[in-house]
Amino acid sequence: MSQDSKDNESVFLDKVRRTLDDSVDNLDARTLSQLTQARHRALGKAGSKPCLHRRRFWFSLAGLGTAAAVVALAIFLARDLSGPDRYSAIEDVEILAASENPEFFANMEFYAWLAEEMDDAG
Amino acid sequence: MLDSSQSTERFLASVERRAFRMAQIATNSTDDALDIVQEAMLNLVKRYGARPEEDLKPLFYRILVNSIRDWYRRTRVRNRWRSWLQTIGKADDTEALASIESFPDPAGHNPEDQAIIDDSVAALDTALRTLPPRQQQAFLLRAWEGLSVRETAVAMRCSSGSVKTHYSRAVRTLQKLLEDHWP
Repeated sequence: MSQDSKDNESVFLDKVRRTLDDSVDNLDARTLSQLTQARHRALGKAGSKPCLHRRRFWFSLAGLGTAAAVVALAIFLARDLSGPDRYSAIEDVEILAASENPEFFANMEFYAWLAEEMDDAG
Repeated sequence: MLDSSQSTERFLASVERRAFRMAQIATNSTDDALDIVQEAMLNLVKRYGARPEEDLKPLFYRILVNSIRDWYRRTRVRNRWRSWLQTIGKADDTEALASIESFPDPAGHNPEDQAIIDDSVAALDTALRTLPPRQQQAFLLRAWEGLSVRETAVAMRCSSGSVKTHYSRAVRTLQKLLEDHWP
């Protein structure tokens, strides 16, 4: 790379940085307030330690509910889909619901197998 | 002397606005960007809250990049399901369709946001959004956030060589896209 190109790139990058910095400086009050609240929530939530057995109970309950929903959906989809499409649909459900209950998806293969077994049996 | 929670709060306050803009550029959605930043903050505090402040930056951006990648995956799946519903949907479940259609289109623009930023920012945002996600991330982390190649590789979970490739391609593309706007 020639010296001119390097200089041009350096000027360009300075301009990019300044523009991005301007965009941060011009964030509206509502967004700034929401960011502050988000920070406080993150620090507050991390500081609170709920009772472990209660947490496990709710995880189990949420896991059962989600499992039932996924199995029902997988069976519904399996009526019309076959082969890879079928597994793709199950993966989609996994991704969509991942933010709800991440622990559940450690067992995703099991639920895919269960859906297939129930379908074969039915 | 600051305790770890104070130093973590100070760190988060120092990066939250830039992190928000990174997520906003990636998602083109203020609400999604706020969710992503909050999730990243929470995960950082939970997992690494006790780490020294100087370690937090690459860790935080690693979490943020991961959250943005999850957002891309979820959005892709939602769009696929939307297409599927449109192909099979005989409008017999308009409620479900409407709720899925309410998800933001990553390729679209948010007029509300565009109105409050000036032309240069808008042009740059538009150019950045044309980059593939990995190039966009490598560029913002290196050029704006000032992470080293190694720190960027940690944040993006890839090799230093990949970071250099993504970054140089991003610079070339942006220069070309913005040459008319920034002669």
